[in-house]
Amino acid sequence: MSTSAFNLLPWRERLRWQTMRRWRWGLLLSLLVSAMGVLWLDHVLDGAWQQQLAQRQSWQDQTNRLQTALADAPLWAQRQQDAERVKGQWRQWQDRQHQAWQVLRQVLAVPPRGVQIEQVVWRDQQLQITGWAISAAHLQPWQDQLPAQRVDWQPQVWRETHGWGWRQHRFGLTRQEGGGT
Amino acid sequence: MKRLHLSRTPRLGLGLLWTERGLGLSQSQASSAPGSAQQSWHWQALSERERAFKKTAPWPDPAHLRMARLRSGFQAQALALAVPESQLQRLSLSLEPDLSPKQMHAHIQTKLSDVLPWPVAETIWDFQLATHDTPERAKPHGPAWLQAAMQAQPQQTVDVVATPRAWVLACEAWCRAAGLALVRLEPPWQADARWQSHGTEQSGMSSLPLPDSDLSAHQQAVLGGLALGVVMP
Repeated sequence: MSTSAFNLLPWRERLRWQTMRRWRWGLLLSLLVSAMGVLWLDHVLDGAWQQQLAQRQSWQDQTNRLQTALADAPLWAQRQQDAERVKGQWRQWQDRQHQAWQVLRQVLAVPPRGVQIEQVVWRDQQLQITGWAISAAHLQPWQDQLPAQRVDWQPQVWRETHGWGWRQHRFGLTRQEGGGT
Repeated sequence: MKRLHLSRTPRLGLGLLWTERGLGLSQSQASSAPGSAQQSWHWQALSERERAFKKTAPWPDPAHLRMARLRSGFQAQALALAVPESQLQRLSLSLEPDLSPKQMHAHIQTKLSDVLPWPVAETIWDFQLATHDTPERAKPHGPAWLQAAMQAQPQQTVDVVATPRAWVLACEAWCRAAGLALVRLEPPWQADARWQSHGTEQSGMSSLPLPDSDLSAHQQAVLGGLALGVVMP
């Protein structure tokens, strides 16, 4: 076979042109793929960054809540204790209130003639009444009907009540509830 | 040398040669056996009117070529043509050794600009490294030391052929008008050498295939070599 292989068609120019076209397409595709890769990476990193921010914000909120809860813990513990104590003593307080109400009804059921009640205190199962009486004869029937024990009896002094002048004795009565007088 | 106009070698190749009296067609069909091909021939004589057209136009009428293909029954569309000697320049250039292909291309282009009668930009050229020794290198003159120095000095020679670009473009346009694809455009002596080499290998092509045409033996060898070059480059 002949060793000469000339071809006078412009194949070199066409080869160069095809190579250049392939190179341009390759460059274009490379740029396109690179841009898509960068965009995808940006999207992924942005998502990860947003997730990180959200997680950090969540942690911050949780930390704030925990710190607030930690700061209020003694107060709430005290309140909890108070509430438990009130809850435990609620029945007793109800009984005492009922008892006080009964004592007050008993006191008010006896009409105080010649006696002016100044103060009624019911404390620690003990009824204490202070007031003014015109005489011992006025005080004694009322004291017997309660019944109560006289713990104080002062000499008469002049007092002004509702525009009238009176000479009255200051007295103090006491009555022990729950069995005692 | 690479063939770059087709992604793969076609199985059918067409060679075309025309004279004042007619068109010569040759078709090569690559066979399954490597290095062999089936060759078909056709001669289409021109009528008086077509001869008159041929005298006024530089190229044959494409319609006439289509008709010749139709009558021949050839199916090949890959065409090879020979560059006329009047449009061809053949040169031998000496180059420095160890040049890269790109540097070699640039050196040849520079040298061609000094030698060619046309501008290099308006020229299509091809080259290949010469495998034969020049007479000077084969038999150097002078004293023995000069002969030894000339023999030892590194040098490479390239054979270059060139043709005007306008002629090539016109040739391609004419082939497209005829419904053919021009895949080879080569010097006639190259096609002749291919045919002779192929005939030697096949040892059965001593007789002229177109005895009724006015083509000489050389022209018929060129025609056969052109078609053969398409399928067996």
